Amino acid sequence: MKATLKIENIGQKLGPQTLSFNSGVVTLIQGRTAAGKSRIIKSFALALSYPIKSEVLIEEGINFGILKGGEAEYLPLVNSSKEIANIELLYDDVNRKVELFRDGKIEINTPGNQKFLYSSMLVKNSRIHNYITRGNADFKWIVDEMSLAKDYEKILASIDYQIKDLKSKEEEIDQKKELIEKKDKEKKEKESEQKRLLIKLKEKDDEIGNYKFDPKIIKEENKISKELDNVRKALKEELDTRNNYEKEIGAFKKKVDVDKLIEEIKNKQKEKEKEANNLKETKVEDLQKEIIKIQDSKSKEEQEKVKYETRKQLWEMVKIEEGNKCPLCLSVGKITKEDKKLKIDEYNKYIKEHQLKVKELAVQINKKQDEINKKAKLPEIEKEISKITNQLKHIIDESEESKLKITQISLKIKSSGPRIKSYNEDIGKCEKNLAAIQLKKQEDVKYQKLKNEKSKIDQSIGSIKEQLDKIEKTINDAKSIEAYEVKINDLDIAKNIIEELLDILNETRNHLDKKITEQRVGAAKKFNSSTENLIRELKFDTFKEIYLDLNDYRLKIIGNNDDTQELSSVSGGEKAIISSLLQISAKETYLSEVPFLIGDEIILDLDSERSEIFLNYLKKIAKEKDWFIILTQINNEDLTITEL
Amino acid sequence: MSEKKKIKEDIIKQIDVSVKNGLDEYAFLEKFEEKLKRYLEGRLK
Repeated sequence: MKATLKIENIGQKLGPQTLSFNSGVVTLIQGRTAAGKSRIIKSFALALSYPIKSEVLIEEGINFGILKGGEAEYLPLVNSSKEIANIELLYDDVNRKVELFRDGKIEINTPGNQKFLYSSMLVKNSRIHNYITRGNADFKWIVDEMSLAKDYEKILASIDYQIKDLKSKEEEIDQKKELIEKKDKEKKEKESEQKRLLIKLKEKDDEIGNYKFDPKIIKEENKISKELDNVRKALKEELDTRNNYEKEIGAFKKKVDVDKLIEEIKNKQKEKEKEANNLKETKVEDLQKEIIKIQDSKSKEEQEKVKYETRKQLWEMVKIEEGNKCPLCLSVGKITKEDKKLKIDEYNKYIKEHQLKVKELAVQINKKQDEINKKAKLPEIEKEISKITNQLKHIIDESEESKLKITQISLKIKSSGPRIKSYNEDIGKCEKNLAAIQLKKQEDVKYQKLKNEKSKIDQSIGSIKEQLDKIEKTINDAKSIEAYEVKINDLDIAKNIIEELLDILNETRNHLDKKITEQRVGAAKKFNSSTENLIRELKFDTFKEIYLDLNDYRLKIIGNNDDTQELSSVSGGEKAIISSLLQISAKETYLSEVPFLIGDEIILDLDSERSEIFLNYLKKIAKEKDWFIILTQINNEDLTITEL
Repeated sequence: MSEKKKIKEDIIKQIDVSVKNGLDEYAFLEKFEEKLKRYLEGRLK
């Protein structure tokens, strides 16, 4: 497999640069300081790991010089004289293009794997190397980062927050219940006090009601009250009478307003009179004579019609082929078929004309007969006219009478005005006098004292009522609680449900704990197994065992004499060996699917024997796994790339 | 199966699926709280 790395404006080198690499071998990039070695491995690192989202990995990226730090002005990988730089990495069927902007923005066409930074970078700045160098044996972070434990932990933190919140709700419920109990007690005390005061108030009211004022005042008050009652009664009667008059006027007004009705009746009367006059104009005898005359004319027409019908029949019987005799005069002549048709048509015309005349005359006779019949109804019409006339007279008379009545009643209403005014004045006087008597009563010292005492009791009752309202409100407010934006109005039910929710959350928590341990132990076991194989493979005599403790994920180093060694106490050279071992192990364990392992001079800086062992191992796995293993080494020459 | 047992199993299943598919913490919490809320509302009916 081949890999091509195309870089442009990366680091100190301007313009494009294309480099080729083969898999299955270890490639060594050598050169003096600033020859461009780190530019190449950083380009690989960015193309294979971006986008980087984990906070610790972002920090790692900044330390390694592939991301812009918070305080940095520019992205360090972009050439200082350019705004944009590019990286393109092609291998297998992968074509990854990265665009780097001077302000720190990075765009990539296909996402890489951020774990590449932990697992595949055998460099002095790597986190594994830093931990080993500083003697920090706590490797929990690697099992967290290389497994799903971190995600489960995030959920666990949220569940813990929910549990804390629900527990505080439980406490709130207890506090509210305590408050309700206290307030209920207070309420009962206040209610009992209120009851006592209400009895006292009633007693005071009775005392005020039964108070004996000066008899003279009472006598005067009774007198005025009686007078006032009488006047009010008289006024009421007067007003009732007046109302009745007004109702009567209303009824009469309906009888006065009859102009339209009168006009309608008059029109009807005129129509009937016209009808009667018409009937009176002609006499029955004249009509009968006219009928006889028309009947004569009708008989003549009928005779004429019969005459022409007979002639027509004769002509219809004529047979043309037998001879040419006229059927009427019997004279011999030349009679054709056309002549016969003409004659029949002519008689048909006469018959029709006479028939029409007969009909017209019959209609005339009927009309005349109708007139005679109508004349018989004349007395009836005249009787109807008389009835209408009487009705009209009655309505007009009634209207006139009603007008008179209205005038009379209006006078009565008018005359009641002064009386009503007088009654009202009398009532005003009585009321004024009664008010004066009330004033006198108020001036009575003993009475005044009773009133003041009553007022004080009223005030106390009012105050207690206010306190009771407040207590009631406090109780009502305390009766409900809100959880998950849902209001629960019964505290006992709320507590039960919250307990159930806590039970659900605690069980979920147990599941998460189990999962986190599973993930960590799984990741650590894989790591330990890989490291064990590696130590066996490399045949190192320095350490018997290097592994992550499954209880605390701390790195344990067992020497050849089965003695446990502290990481802080091992030499620098030994630390470099451990660091290399762990880094290769991490790569094989966690990201073997990405065929790149990048390293700087860590391995090559080891003593020649160890360095050779490592190099041989790397060559072997490069070949076995078809990986690209790329190492850098500093020398005093120009940049060279060779395969080992 | 009781509602309580059902929701427990549902939450645990939701956690495992969310983590396996690349956890979106915000979306997960929203769904999770919604489930608890619905359980609470169901208990109040």
